[in-house]
Amino acid sequence: VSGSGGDGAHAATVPTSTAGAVAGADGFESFYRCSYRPVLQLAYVLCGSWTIAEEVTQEAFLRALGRLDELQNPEGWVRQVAVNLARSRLRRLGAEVRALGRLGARPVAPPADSGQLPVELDRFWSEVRALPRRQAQALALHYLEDRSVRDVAALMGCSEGTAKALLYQARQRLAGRLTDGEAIA
Amino acid sequence: MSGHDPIDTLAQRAATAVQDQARSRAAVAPEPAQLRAVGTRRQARRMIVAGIAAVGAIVLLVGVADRLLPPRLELLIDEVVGEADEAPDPAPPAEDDVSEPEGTGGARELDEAVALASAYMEARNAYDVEGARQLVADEFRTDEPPDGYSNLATMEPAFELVQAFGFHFSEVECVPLQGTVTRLVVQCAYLQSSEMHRTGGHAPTPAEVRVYVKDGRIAEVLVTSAPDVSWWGPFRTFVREHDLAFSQVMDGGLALEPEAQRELMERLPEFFQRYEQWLDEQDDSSDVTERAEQPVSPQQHPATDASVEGPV
Repeated sequence: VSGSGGDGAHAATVPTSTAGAVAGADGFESFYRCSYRPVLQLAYVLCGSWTIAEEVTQEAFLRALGRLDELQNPEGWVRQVAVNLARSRLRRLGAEVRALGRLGARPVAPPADSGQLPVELDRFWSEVRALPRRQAQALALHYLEDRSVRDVAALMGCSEGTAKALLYQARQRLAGRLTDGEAIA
Repeated sequence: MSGHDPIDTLAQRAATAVQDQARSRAAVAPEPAQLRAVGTRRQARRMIVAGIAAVGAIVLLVGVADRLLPPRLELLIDEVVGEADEAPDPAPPAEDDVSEPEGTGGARELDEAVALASAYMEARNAYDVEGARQLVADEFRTDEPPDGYSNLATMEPAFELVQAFGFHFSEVECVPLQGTVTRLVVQCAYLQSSEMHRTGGHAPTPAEVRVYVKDGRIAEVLVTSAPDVSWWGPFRTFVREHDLAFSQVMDGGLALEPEAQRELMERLPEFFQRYEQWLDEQDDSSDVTERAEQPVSPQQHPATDASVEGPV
């Protein structure tokens, strides 16, 4: 784990003994305390809504509860569950908005509370969300948690080569889109 | 990846902004003990479902179920499974369940959420902005009536518009519905009336909203019922065909600029007069058509016809 900066709060870099003793044998509490914020911010940038991000993050940890010992890669697992839940929730919301739109009474309104980010930075994450799913996830892990290619690969359950390719493709696409829109000063 | 790359620079700024917000959000995350309590209840529900399924299998095996029990059993399983999938935590515990820690969506919290939702509906119905503000969270938003979003900052002009259009509730009934780890959900059903109802001669129509309660405050009020075309359809048809400017203002929902809102408010009385005249004309032409083609059908409402056919 690189853990060289950013806001990753990487589990491997955080002492777990105290929290684990309080929590009991499964160490869920230390896992939860160390990983909640990184998972929350990952879910947020991939769905654009803090409300949904909080719900799916808590749901992901809830699903990890009691089976932590069985998981080979709990850090990656809980992130993947949160990301999948967020996508599922967004699909459902999108379907509801489209259904109501077909009935003609609701103007298009975003279901997401993309909120208080400055416009330029909000647009950056919007463009990330528009990338293919795994590219977006790799990029978000890389920048949000300051993860190395090896860490990204481990968290996503793929080879380093695949992670490297995903990051490269994501950056290429992103550069094209942001440059076209003159988002980069 | 170079730190001097403009993408890197922008990405790092974007990441820092998200991290800052995540930090404050994570500070109010549920405690692990709260998640454990939810997990315990969910596990109990799973066991109940498994028990019901086992009983069902036995009943089927003895050959009686195909005639008597499946509908009931199916409903029961749906109900319990639905709760387990969609609403893990706030379902009220059994009365003898003393393992429920406080503050995790127990019966008391649900009662409070229902009271909060009812108070909001009352304040909204009275167009009481100050009263409503005291019940909602800073990040509050609503799409009621379903024509655009408003939030805490735009609540006052939104309530003005809602009042100007005469949106009013009656027979409000709020019940606890479901929730997640962090939010309780209350569903409020009511009868809705408005100037469009009154002008078009329509009785109040059923509608419902879901009220999402978080940390003792209302975070969202979202309309979940489909819009009723009986009163809304003719009005939209009239607006679109007779006053494009007005239509554009209305399409802005409740997030209007102050000037646009002032203009709309000033024009509303005259606009409803014209709408009433138009409905009368529709009524007349509909009568003529009906008399020419077939015997008069008193069940057929002229305004509904107009929404489908448009003005003759």
